[in-house]
Amino acid sequence: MTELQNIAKKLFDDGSINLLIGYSNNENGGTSAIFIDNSADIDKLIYNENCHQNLMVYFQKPEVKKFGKLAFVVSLPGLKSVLEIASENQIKDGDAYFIAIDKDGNPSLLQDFHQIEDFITNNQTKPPMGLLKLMEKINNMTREERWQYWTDEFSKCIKCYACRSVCPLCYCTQCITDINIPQWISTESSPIGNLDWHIARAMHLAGRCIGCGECMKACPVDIPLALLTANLNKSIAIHFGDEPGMKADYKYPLSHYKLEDKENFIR
Amino acid sequence: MARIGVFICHCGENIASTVDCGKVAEISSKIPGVVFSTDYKYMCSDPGQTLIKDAIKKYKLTGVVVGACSPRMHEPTFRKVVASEGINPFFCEMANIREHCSWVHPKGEETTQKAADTIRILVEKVRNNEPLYPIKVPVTKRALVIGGGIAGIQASLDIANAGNEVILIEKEPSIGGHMAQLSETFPTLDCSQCILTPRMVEVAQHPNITLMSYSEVESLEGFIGNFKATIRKKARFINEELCNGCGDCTLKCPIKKIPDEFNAEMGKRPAIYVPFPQAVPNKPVIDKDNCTHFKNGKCQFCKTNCSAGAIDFDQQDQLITVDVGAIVVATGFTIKGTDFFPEYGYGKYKDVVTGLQFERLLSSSGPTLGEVRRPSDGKVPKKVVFIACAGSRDPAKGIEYCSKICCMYTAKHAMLYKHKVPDGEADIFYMDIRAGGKNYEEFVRRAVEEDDVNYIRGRVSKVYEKNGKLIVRGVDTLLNSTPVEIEADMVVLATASVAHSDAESLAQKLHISYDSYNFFSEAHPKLRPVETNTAGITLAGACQAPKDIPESVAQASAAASKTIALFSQDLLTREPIIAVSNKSTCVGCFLCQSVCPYLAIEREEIKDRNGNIIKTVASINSGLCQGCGTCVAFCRSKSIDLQGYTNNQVFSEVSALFERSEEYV
Amino acid sequence: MSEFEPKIVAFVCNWCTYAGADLAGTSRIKYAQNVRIVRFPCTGRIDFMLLLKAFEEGADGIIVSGCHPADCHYTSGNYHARRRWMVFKDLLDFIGIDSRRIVFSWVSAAEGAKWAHLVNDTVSEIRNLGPMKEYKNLENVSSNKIGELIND
Repeated sequence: MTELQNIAKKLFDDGSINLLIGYSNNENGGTSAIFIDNSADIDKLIYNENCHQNLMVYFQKPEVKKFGKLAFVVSLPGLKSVLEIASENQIKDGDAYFIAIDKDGNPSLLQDFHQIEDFITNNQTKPPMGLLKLMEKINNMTREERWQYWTDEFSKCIKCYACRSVCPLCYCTQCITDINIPQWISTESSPIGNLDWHIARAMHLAGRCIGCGECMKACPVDIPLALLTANLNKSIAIHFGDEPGMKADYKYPLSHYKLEDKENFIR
Repeated sequence: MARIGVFICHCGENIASTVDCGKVAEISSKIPGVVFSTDYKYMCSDPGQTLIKDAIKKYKLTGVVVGACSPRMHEPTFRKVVASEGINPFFCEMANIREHCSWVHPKGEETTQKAADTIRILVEKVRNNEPLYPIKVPVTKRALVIGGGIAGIQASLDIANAGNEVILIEKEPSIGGHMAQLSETFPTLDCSQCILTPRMVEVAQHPNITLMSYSEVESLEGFIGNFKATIRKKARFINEELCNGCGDCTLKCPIKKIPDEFNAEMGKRPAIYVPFPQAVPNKPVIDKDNCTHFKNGKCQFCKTNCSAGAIDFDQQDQLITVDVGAIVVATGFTIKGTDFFPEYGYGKYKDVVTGLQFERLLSSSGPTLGEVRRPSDGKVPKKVVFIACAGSRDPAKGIEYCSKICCMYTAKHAMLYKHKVPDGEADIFYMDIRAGGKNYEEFVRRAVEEDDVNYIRGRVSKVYEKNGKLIVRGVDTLLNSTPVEIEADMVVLATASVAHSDAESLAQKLHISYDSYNFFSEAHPKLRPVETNTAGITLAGACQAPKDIPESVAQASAAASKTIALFSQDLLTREPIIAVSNKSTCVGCFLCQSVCPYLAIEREEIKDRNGNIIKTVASINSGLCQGCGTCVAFCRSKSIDLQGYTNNQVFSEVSALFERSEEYV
Repeated sequence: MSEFEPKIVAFVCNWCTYAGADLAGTSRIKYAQNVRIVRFPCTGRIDFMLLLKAFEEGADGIIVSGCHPADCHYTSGNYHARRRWMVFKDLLDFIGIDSRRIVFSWVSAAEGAKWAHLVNDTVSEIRNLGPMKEYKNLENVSSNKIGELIND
């Protein structure tokens, strides 16, 4: 039995949890989320470098919530989303156990937000170079080139909303794109509808996105969606000095202000 | 199905001279859902209103768009019209085709088109309007009057006499304001103190008035009927309960040479002082900056000599929070000092004084006991030059307005001087004489005809000192701009009346508008000259613009009557322009909570039948919400909306922005 | 050919800029006709989606204007708006929408002349930028790409 399985088993054995969400191998040779509701299935629980899905996306699902006592296998991005949704009043200290996987792949059990905050501080990783390079490349384009780049990218969008489904922060029960009075965003996969959707999504995640990149990995047409929020977070860090996912009492930069905020763009 | 009526007003020629109103009505008639459209000369007049009422009946209208002036002007008028026909008043919208169109654009096709577009945008809004019902909130029947000059005194007395509580705060140690400083008043030449001080005493003794002198507004929260004001009661270092106002302390204070504010620095006062003998309250105050005790702890003369034991060096500022339903702002004005004028010596010539300083020299309670003696050597000046419009009406000085009171008080000064120094000579340089007011023109004529005051029409370019005289150099524009040079013993500048230096910050604390000169703005220059744009806050006196005493008093009574009218209701009707939350879609992220300046967003627990909490959602307290809508724009899932400016309404407006009306043809 | 006349929409707050525009009217200060005004209670109420919608409707330029800092009728709506627009502008820049087409300004109730200048300046700046062709072209992009993708 692996250390991870040991921790999980102990949680079940002492009655701390009713449901554990972790990873297991799937029949395609990859990994998938596994929902374990009794200790008999614990031997299916694995963790390796292929386990990237941010399982915190399941936290707010009613089907999961009804189990009551929960545990999640989470790595750095997952823990950041815990703190972010904590700052958004979605999870309270003690609502769930977290089996945190550190940068060397070793599991440890975390329960309170302070432990999570410390874990995140000690396990910081750099964002993937590919993403940063692409971001820089786009920023160095002329405006016309940028427009062309994104128009091309967005034109591929088929409005499957996979980006929304995998995002642990897209927990609204009513999404702006599902509203029809008024119809903020055209539902069809049209150039304007696609543009509106991706701008709205980015704005709604600005200063909240913790950069797990799930949206981009889930996108069936490979739109580099994480760039939009990553770039926005970069400007938020520059303008206001805030970074989401680091503290449970994080103050959302767009619903706070400082008198001395920059306004050189305002006449 | 909406049945909308469009009513285009000509506003006499105001709209019709640049906008083809008939054409706008015709274009509007083609908008889907518009079943009636017409134009009329004066839509706000009685026949105009009847026209709307008749059309509502005849065409069974469900909504109305009036294309006329600014909604800030007549929205209530037309909403009433619509309501009188049984339609919810919020189904009436105004399209501003006057201030935003006909007045700012030339006659022509484009201007007419803009008017038509504006109508269409509002038609789309009306189409998506929902019936709204006024919100009733309780009223705290207590007024806060800020400023204890004649305007604040009058307003306080009027409100208190109607049976309401008043808290009057004054930042100086005594109420009385500028009027207490005046010698005599125009045009009657009656003694200012004699008419003012009984009013001051009345304030002090009134059972409904709580006077807080030496106090200032720290902050203000809330809204009409329900304000919460925090007042800073500055430490005067005197226990007011114990002090009996004997004045011994002021006599014993070894520091005696502090320029006296009440005497416009023409006299001196001690460090512990009562501003003037008739001060209300008649309690001294210690000027901390100049008191030896506070400087080095070495002096206690006042304390040892106070038989009442009222001196309290340890007193601290107190912050007092009061609930009030209405506020009258009567903070008055100040004047520019002589140092504002490089051409008149930058304040370095002692015998160049302001009108207010001269006022103190004329006053029998002033530093010279009413004898006109010049500051430099105490001699009686034999030739006094008065310069009107010092700073006022002078774009180069940044003060383009007329200070209004100077023409009259300068005539008064010259007259009083002549009465006191009959062999003296008074010359007045002026631009125009503005003596509009009851008995004002006659008063100026008296100065000229009976008191031999010499009026010279022209401006003074320079005043300088030479051999103990002040040389006043100007021109006489009535004599072909002939240069004039006068050797004067004294020069009196009628310096511009300006807003207090802290007027802007007070306006920001109170959330009221102010103009580019920091005078507070009225809600409408003609029809709502007393109210501010913030409901429940009214203006009185010269904090709004320069005013003389009768005008200040009249406005104070007007402000009081607005306040009394407000207090005559037990429940106040508020516009239902507030946010509402959709509890079924709200996910309770509460990112909206921190944007609400009124703390109106509360957490509500939604429970199932067994009492288990299912979720916590945002709930808007309709009594606190003021309807800014900031939370609405924040809500990702659109679970908050703003009544009167709903997402659907503003979205429809934007959707209708640029449809060219030909599309309907 | 006549000069390009940009279509401008102004989203303004009721207390400051709407009143400032009223003052421009009462003072009879003339300015360009291109602007259509939509009234909001506060700049804090203005949803970024409405700006997108305005472009979609054919606006070539957008003015967003409210009370100066410290003057907000509701205390702080303008401060929140200020942050929102800072972030939104950065997003538009990143996507390649010319953020010069959105002009943010503080115009108080006392600034009728500033309002007139703001409109005139915006009209002439947008006239120089030319029509907002990006959005118009989007309509022509159609779903070709999407079609191709599905046919693959």
